[in-house]
Amino acid sequence: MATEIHIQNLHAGYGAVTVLNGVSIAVNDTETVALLGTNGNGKSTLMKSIMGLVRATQGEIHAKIDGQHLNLREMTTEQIVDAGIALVPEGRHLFPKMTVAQNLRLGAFRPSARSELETSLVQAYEVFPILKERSEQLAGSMSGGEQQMLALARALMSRPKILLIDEPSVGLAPILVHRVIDQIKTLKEMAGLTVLMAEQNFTQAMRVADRGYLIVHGEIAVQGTTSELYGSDLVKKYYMGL
Amino acid sequence: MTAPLLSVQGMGKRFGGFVVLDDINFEVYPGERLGLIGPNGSGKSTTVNCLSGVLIHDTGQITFDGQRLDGLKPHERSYAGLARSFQIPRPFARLTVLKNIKVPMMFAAEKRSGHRFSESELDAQARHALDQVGLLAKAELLAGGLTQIDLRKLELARAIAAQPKLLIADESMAGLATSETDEILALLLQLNSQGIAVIMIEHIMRAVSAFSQRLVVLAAGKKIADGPTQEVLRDPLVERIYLGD
Amino acid sequence: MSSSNLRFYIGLLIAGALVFFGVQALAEGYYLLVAFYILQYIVLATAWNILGGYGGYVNFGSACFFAVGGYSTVFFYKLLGLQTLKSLDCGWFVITGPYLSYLIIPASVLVGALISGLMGLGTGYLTLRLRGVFFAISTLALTVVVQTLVLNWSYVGGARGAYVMRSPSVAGFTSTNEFVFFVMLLIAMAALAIARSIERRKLGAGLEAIRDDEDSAECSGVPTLQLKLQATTISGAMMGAVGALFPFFVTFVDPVGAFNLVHTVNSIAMPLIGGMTHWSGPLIGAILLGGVQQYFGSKNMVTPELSLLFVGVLMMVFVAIAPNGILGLWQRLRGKDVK
Repeated sequence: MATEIHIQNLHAGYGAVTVLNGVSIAVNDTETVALLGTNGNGKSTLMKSIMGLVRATQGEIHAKIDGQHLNLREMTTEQIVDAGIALVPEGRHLFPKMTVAQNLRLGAFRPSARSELETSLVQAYEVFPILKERSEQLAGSMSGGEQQMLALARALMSRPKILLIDEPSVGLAPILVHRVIDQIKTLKEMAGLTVLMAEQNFTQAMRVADRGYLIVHGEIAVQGTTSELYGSDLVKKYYMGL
Repeated sequence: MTAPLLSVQGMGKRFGGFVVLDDINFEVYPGERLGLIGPNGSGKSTTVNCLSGVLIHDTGQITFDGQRLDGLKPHERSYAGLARSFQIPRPFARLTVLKNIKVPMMFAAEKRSGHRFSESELDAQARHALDQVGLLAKAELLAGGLTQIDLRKLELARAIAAQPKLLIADESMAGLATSETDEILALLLQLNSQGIAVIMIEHIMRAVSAFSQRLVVLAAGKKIADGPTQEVLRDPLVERIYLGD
Repeated sequence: MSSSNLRFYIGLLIAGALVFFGVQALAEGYYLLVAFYILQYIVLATAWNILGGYGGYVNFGSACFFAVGGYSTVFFYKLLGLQTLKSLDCGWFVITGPYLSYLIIPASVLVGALISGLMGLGTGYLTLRLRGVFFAISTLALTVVVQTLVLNWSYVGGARGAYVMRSPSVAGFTSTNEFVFFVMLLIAMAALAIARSIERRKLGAGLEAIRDDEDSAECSGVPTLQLKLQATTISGAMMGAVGALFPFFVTFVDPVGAFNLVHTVNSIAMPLIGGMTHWSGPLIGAILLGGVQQYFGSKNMVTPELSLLFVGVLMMVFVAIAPNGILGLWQRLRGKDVK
């Protein structure tokens, strides 16, 4: 059954500042779509708009989860998460005074995830063994990279159908970047997860993405399959310097 | 043989029973470009915090420019000439960009230079610093409203405004696109050409290898490598635990 | 002196003169009373804002610093036997009755400022090494402790209170009250000038940096503990100064009146309403809120408790819709970035 996101002509921003100027993207069933673009160009705003954390001023945001149609603009963030869309935010936003284990358990808050909490927890520790080691450590006392892994694992605890990830590799050691992207790849292949990912590490993003969009100044400047992106001059300018 | 600018000897730090840093020894020479790398959780940020005084190390000693830093508060270390930028930028959000630069000038730089800056001197120098990082046009904006790349530049500009001898740049390129990373890299190289030693903590290997003359590698709180950049990058242990393929 | 400084001081002097001669011209004691209280609140609000608005460290003990100033006057009055003093022999000249106040009242103000300032320094030294909340809590505790001490200290009157007899007349003024009012006006003008001066100098910049990010400020070279202590001392001293003057106006001091919660609440509400980032904020808040309180209080339309309720509600409204106060609203209207 289909799981997808369709965004048409989205305008969104913060107060007087408009960040997105008529953005239209699609994420189809089991696809992994990469969002590229320099900072401040709207990638985070786009993801927050999907989650209802930022109110769009214009445009349509529709999702299909297992064939059921949802108009995301009419839903609250809690309802969107309950429906099966999870966000791993930039800046992690963990619960710093709670342990790793507590953070993970809280990730499985939504009803359909709660029943599978123990299975999800085992899986999370398999994917990120360091989290098992540090399971009783306070989240706030971990290093930046470790927090990043916890944030990703926590989102996965909600057993999402659609996963939005804002900069998964930021602050991670090269070996971990590789591992995280591998994990996303595995999740995509084995769980049929539909993923929208903002990622500045172009090479890594292209390893796992099927398609991508380059956002410049709040508008889509380039879009296409991975090979089409590699061939784009604009993408080369931003991502293949030095 | 010149004396080291920074000398860290036997530095250790624990949080309760958890040993975060264990017998760390390394040196930085005047004007040098050092890269500090290592897996996540290896103790890099803790090292930086201990050097800048935000955390107090438990064992060992830190000598900077001939002076012992142990026991000195962060602001006193900035007077000695040590500056650091924060991994996640920490601007003075409700002050203008210009004022953000003026604060380290008024306090650290003024103390280091030994004479009081007049209002006009301060203003001119601050604008010059902003111009160097390309933020002059945004001088009157509130720092809290800047984009990520601008915040990173401001963070570096603030550290530079303190007129340091050593700058510790803590992951100043994380999360930036390639072209933006190049901007920051160019900035750091320019700084170094003015005689400021730089310790770069970074995961973006492209930048680390282009910038550093020498690398120090930490893993699980211990130093596991210390030497010329290319040599260290070819070290099998470093490859195994940090670089991956 | 720079032109903006010149304009400020000239403006200040003119405003001061207008207030003084205006009240004198109106000739009704009521206006003098209202003006006195508003001026008192201008100082309390300005003093609070130096530490709270600029520095971000909230003081819940304004009433305590104020009361300590008042009781220092009571104490020294009694100690030096000033009740019965008719004249003072200073060696080569004698100060007689109508001129005594020129010495006694300003001296009391200075002593009150000194003692409250030291209390601020002491409290700060004990708690400012810890982050924000602890200082705020300690100021609350301080109020309770000091009020209890004073309540049980019979030398200064304890629960019964104490009277402060002042000269029946003061040379050059139509009444003693008018002289006291004049001194209050001078203190208020000084307070505004001090706040503005701090704002424009290193201390102000350092405090704002501390408010926005204390660790970052330290790493930029700001000696955070030192500056916080300076702010606490100056703030406490200003509150003590007006506290020390207060007994000369009301002539009767008791713990309930001196440690009144309304001083604490007002000193926070007024900067909040006026705006906490500029010296004019507390001034605006004090005039507006103080004026409203005095008006309704005089008409006996409102009990003190109802007045406090009103202030509380007002504070909630401002925090919700205009956290940067009236100044913030004004800046937003003009389209500028609001601090």
